[in-house]
Amino acid sequence: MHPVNWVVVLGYLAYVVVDGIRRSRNTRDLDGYLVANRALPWWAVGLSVMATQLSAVTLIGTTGQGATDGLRFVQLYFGLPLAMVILGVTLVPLLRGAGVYTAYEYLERRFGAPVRTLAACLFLAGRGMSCGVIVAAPAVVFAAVFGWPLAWCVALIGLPAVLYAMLGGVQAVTWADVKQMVLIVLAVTAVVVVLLVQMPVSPGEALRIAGATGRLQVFDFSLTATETYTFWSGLLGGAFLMLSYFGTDQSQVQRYLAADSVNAARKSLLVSAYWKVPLQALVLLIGVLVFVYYQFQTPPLLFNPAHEAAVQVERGDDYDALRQRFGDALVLREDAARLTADAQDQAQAQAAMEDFLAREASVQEVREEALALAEEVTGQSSNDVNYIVPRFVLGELPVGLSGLFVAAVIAAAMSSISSELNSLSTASVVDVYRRWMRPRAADAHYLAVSKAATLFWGLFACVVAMYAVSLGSLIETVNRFGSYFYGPILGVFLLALIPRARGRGALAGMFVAAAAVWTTARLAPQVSFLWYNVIGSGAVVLVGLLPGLAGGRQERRDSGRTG
Amino acid sequence: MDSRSPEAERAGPAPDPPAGVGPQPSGADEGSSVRRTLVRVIVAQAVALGLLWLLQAVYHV
Repeated sequence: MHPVNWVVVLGYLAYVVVDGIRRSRNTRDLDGYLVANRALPWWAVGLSVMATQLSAVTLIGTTGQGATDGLRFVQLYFGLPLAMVILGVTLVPLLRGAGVYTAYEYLERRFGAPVRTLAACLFLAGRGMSCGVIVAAPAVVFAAVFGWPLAWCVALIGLPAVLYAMLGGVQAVTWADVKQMVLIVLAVTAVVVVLLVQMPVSPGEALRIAGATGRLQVFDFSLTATETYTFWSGLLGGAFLMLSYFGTDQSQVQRYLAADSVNAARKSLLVSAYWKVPLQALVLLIGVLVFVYYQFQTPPLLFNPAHEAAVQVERGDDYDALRQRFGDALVLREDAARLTADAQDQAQAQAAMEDFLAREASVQEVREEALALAEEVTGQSSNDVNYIVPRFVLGELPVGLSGLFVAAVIAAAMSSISSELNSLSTASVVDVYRRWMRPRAADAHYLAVSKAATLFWGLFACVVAMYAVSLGSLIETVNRFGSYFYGPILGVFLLALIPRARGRGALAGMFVAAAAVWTTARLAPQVSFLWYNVIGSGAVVLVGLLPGLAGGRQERRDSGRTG
Repeated sequence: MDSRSPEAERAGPAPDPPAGVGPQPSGADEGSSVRRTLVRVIVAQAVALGLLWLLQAVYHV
């Protein structure tokens, strides 16, 4: 990478860490460290909520998904606005009114200590692992692209986030998130603009080429549980996923617990309701435009440079032959793409598109052979979707802008990692340490333990990241990890809204729900993971309301008398 | 003119009310506020999805 790009990246890293340390001066007690004295403005919390959700996986994996699969992934977010409105009416006032540090603390008041502890432990296990995946996503790509050892890349991405999250707590995390979100939006917008400027055809012609390959198909109304991204799975399954994530995952709940009022907390969630779908569409559009750009410029045969080097060493002759065929197929495809772009009437356009699709199929055929060769040589999955956009950014963008995009990828990773470390530390200290080990220590003691817990979870995430490299498509891995735990946790919060639900039913429901999700994943792997949340939360509510597990009318009257 | 007492002046500015405390909207006000928010979110979402629909309708083959 050009030295100017490194100056941009290192300048950003230094600024974030120094600013985080500066903010640590305002966090001398537990309330300041964990919930910023509940005094943050709605817009800062709103941007922090968005930055926490948008990780490096989004900038690397989702853009790559746009290049290979088009815009239809955006359907996953169609249920998000609905989920935000529901949360604003139900859980937000409930949790804010309870004056808690964690969402799980509320569960003890409603259902007793075992339910709280189980929910907190499910969160700690799931989020601790997924935090590792979030560190791994950019680290793996950086290691391959820059040729560095994986451990260095993990340290470069993970340690600065650990440092400012540990020292500054939620205040450092939130204000860093605000700046990181601005940087990310700036970088994404700049890349789209530069792509359109550098494209050898007009934007309309570029979209026509993308449309010919099905990459502009957004909506899929098919009613099937086996297709991952459809309108219905996005609207219903996505709404449940978002309800679970934003309503019960401490990494998000802690953001709006730090807002300065209930209304500020509600407004902070609405920032995502308004902007998530457009932003996600813009991110996917980068991938689509990169695909079109490579119709007119020679793309690498293998986007993963580490695999490319390994294949060249081990099977150089075979690889050269494939490259020759690839080059020939690209020339034919480029001609067909230009004819598609220049078509003057409907008949001409139809004929050009058919020819273009045939040429595109020939290119993909050679790519498939190269990927199979890479898999054979390296013994690893050769899926290189996460390398498409990083290779484009480093090879094709102007100096400075590539540095800005790399900084944005690191910013996206750090904004998620720091919020998650913050919440993992809070749940560990408030729901486990203070609840079960040292209930009556001084505030300063809990503050010190919170900082130590942040450091512990940061190192844990870095260790997990070292082993997360072979988990396939990273974006799906993160969502899959979440889906196993989110359903049961959302279910228990939904149950909390039903007056006759009791602790015994909630506890039994959580175990049954976890088993139901696990069984579905094992016995019906074709069912989209988006439905796991619906299954998990539905199972908790059903079991929790079974006769014998829920309270009857008499019990409700009794509990009303005793308060 | 500052009409605060010397004690109040020494104590500094009045602290902000605790989170969630202060004039609370009535049930009817809150209901209409939720409805307004819901309508705004639905309109914004409809515009975003409409633009994506247009993109698909014009260019998707």
